[in-house]
Amino acid sequence: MLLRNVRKPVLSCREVTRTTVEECFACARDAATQLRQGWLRVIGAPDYKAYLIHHAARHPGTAPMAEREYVNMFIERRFGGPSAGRCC
Amino acid sequence: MSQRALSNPELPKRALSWVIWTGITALGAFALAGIALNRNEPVSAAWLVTAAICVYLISYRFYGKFIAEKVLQLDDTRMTPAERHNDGLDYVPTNRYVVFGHHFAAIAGAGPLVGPVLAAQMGYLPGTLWILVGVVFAGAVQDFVILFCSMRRDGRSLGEMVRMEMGPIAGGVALVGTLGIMIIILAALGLVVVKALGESPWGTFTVAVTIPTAMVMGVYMRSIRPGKVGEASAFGVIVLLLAIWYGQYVAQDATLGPAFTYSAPALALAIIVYGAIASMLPVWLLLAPRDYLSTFLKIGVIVALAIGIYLVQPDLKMGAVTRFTDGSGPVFSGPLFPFLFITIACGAVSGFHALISSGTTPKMIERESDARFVGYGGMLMESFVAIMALSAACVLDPGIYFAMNSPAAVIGDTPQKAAEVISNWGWVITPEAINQTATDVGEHTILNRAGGAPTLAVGMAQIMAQAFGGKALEAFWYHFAILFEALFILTAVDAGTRAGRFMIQDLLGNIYAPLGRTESLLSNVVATLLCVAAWGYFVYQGTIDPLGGVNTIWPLFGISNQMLAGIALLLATTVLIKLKRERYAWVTLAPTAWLLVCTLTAGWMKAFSSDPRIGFYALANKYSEAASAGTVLAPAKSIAEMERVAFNNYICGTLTVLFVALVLVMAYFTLRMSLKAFRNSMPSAAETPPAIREGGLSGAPA
Repeated sequence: MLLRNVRKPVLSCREVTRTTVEECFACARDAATQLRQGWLRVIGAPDYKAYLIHHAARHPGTAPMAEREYVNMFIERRFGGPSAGRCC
Repeated sequence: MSQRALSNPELPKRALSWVIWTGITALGAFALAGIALNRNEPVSAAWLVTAAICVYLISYRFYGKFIAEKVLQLDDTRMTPAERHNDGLDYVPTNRYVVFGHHFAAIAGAGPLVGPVLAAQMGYLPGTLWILVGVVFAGAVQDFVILFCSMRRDGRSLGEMVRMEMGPIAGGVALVGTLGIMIIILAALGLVVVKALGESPWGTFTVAVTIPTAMVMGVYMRSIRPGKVGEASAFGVIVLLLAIWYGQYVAQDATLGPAFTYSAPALALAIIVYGAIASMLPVWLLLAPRDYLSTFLKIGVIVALAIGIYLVQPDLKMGAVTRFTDGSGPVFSGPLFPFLFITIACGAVSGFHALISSGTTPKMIERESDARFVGYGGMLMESFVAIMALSAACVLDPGIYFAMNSPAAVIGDTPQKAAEVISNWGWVITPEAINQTATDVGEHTILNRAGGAPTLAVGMAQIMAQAFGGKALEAFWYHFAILFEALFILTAVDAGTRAGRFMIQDLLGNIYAPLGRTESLLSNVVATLLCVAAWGYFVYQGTIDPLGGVNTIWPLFGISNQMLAGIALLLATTVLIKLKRERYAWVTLAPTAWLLVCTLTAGWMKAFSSDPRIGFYALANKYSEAASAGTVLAPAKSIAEMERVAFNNYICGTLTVLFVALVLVMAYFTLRMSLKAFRNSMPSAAETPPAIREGGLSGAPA
């Protein structure tokens, strides 16, 4: 689910077949979610919702980390490792 | 015609493509001819930016595509590391526009803003041409090919890839080289901040406010609302804007003003202490929140500057080519070849990018073909930033530009003396104009502020004030630009010290194992202090050495950065030959050769030139001999200062020789490995064996 979403171009509603009001709203919501997820990833911020979707798809049957735990681990891994991460 | 068009649906599309690309080429050629050939009428900066955009589009469409399809043979049926190791944290298949944004935010820092500003002393044309040619044939190629190499090796780092492809000794040499460049970069960036904030209470106050602001954001994101980066950043941006606004009242205040006024040496000590403490604090408290804040500002400012240049269309006041191409310039000494090509590193080609292209980016790429957009396209975008920085420096009155960037040793330290010297060079300027510029941006003085940041800030302030807000807001925009640069320089100092610490631990671990343990507190403290001491030495000396500063350290930075680019491109060449694609090896070999020629010539001249304005050893000898004879040479004021100048220049000279030696060792290993691979009839590159995605091209990643 997440992977399919991420793979799509940022603003695409190819699935929309009939243009009803509900579909348009759903499409706009979908686009907003994708823009938000994309922006979080651009600046390298944690995205707990995306993690939950990933976890459900890849590790079904196990308990995901709590939000606090996930955020702490994400930030520690992103900034605490040996990679500088930022250029001159 | 319509009959054929119907029978071949591709035809109208191809015809349209022809029309569009011919149009872009014509526009680009017209703009380039305009800026290159026009000598009598003022040229608008918008033409410079337009020429650059056309060059980027054409090179991306044709050369980038050639590299992707013919040289690297990107294959979308192969799974990328992001798909193979998808862990939801580091390895995540990500939309290419998002990876592009992420990669760009990681590679674009202060480098592309400082180098072009310094190079503006030779006129706008040499810098522009090198930025454009350099990025198309060297910089973007390097980023793209290294990204490709890392992507085919599970996202391994540059150091690991050198070890895998060229052996452990070459790997060790690359590690020492990377540490050297890291220390020089941190020193240069630290000096840029110190030079920008010296005797500037307004600037110092706003930058000081960022530290507690980031800490409040950090606590908010960790304890109050976990992971809410957007809310915390909105708070941070508002506080910073208020801090810039109130900074002017702080500067005028009778008690607060002096409390935030520091000399350059005092600020140098402050940034050294800050670096040591900040890099040992937990990352969530200071580093992470400020990085988010600076990324927000970085993207916002770059977009605003591009809009500003098109809205205002300021004229370039600096000439196309100035007399300083002969090497007598005050901002950096040395002739156009080779010194232009090391002064502008980031923006044309930057070795540091090889570390990012083999860092987080390859772990996010979703399809191999995305690497062209991210690697090649991302670097074109950074080059665009460099072109805008060059434009901003060249729209300034050249008299102001030289007043800000020339060392006090050349133009003195009063507006009267500076105006006299600069007017003699042919750029007529009055002391009143220099003072007026300082008043306009809310500073006491603009003299002797080499380092790029203040020059760019004045240029940006003039453009932004014309576009938004008028003269009244010029001082606000100036301090906004200073804060914006200081913000990501402080982040780079913090993150770079941490990265340097890991490298030192890696090296020390080979000598005495307990020092290599990254989880040991003692080892961490020792390695951090070593790293801070190394770059801190150059920052502090740069402020007290009468001949030191950004003007001295920047060539060393350029040499080391281009050296790293040389190492990365040598690795890329080895890999291409190991893949048995010798006939395309020129794609990486040609820029490698050019970089080696520039780096080695510049390194040789910086070390051994008999002209004391260029050669480190010549200057050191001159001062050391005069000191032993008991004579004091200006601008030094005592024998002790003379000895310091001599000592510092011996150190810089020795470092230069070390960098040159590293490049030569790497070239030797490349030659050896390449010859071996050339004789081998089978491909021998150490790529991860390909895994084909189920469902082929169109299948959803597993």
